[in-house]
Amino acid sequence: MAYLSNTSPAVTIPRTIEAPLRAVAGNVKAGENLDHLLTSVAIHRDRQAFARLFELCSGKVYGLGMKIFRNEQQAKELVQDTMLTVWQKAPLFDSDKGSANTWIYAVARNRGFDMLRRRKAEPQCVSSDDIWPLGEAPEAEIHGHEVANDFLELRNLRGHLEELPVAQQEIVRMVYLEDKTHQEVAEELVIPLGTVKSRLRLAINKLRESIGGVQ
Amino acid sequence: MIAYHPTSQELLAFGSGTLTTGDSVAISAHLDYCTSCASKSGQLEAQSAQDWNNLPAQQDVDMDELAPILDTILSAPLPELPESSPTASSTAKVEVGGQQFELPAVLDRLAETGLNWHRLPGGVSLAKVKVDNENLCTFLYMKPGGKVAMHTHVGKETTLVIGGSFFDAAGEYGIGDLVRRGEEDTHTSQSNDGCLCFTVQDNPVVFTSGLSRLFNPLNKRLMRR
Repeated sequence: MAYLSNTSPAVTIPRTIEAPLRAVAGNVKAGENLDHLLTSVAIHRDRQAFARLFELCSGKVYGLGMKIFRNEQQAKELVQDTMLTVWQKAPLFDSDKGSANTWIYAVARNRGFDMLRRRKAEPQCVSSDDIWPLGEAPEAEIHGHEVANDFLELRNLRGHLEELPVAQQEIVRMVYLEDKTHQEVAEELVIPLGTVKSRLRLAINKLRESIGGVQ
Repeated sequence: MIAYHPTSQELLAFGSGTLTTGDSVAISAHLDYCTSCASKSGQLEAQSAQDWNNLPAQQDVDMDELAPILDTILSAPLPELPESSPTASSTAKVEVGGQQFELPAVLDRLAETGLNWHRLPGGVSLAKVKVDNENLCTFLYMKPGGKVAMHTHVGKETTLVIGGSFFDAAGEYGIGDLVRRGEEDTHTSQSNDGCLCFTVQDNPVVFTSGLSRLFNPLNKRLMRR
């Protein structure tokens, strides 16, 4: 994507956001709730949280861009591509699989890899997101609701259910017994959608194991 | 049991996005088979991300110049994310020589527009895929009893076994194995039960025995784009 700032409609940034942006970009302090910010962006589409993420990360992404391209314009383009992807794909972030910092780094690596490939005019038959998937969608591996419901009743799984870690139990109950969507569970528990999916997958795998490898 | 893996150095370079696209695809596919490399790769990536985070703040970046990008991003309409990504299905198959093989997602992406198979002597078929400008990437199929004639590697070659197995004088290779051949390496590869591989070569191989030498020009043609 081209660097669009010159053509974008003027939008006024609220003062509260503008002020820290003008400060020198400092290091992200160890664990400074990046995870919390990204989760808030993922679940609530929180623009304030995103502005803060942008403030904390864009300078780093710019640095990575300068390292890859040795060109300011392209480094800025990488900031735009990366932060746009972070904004759009935040729901794929899974806090069970890694930190927000690692996820944002992976996004920047992917966008940088694709920009470099476009510059080299490489064939576009495969993209960085195929090589390094940013988030999986494990539903394909999980039985549909009906099947899993029968499965719960039939195999008398309630006993086994109680052996699961509480966080997994909770999600299995909400999805299979209360019939909530993954999205509803994510919102209710205030955790990323990806986390709901991975916990559910772990729980189902464990349940399968505990009833003796029934697939 | 997977016996041949990328080195830690290669996994680190893979995670940093500094390998060629062809090598990155081969390692990504290996990670689909190999949970120990996948977890090692995840750790190395987290480490790279941490190093990135610990870098001193970029002195020459003017945040005023980056600020308009935030406006642009927040003023763009937000697309609906698909619930499941198209690469998530693991049922992709390729059929060759009457045998069916399951493909890892990243290789399925390369094969989905159709593979164009060329037959070579010895019960071997090749389908070239254009992945990048540095390598010759091919799907290579050996039928049961098939044999890639004695050849020498001019450059570096990486072979990932997708299905079946093959062997050479140095060993036997099964599904998920990532086999490396360096310069001046001369060998013959054979398969008893049929084998599908994905290979990445940074220079074409040179056949060194018998009539196969006739195919050297073909090999050069394959390399031309």
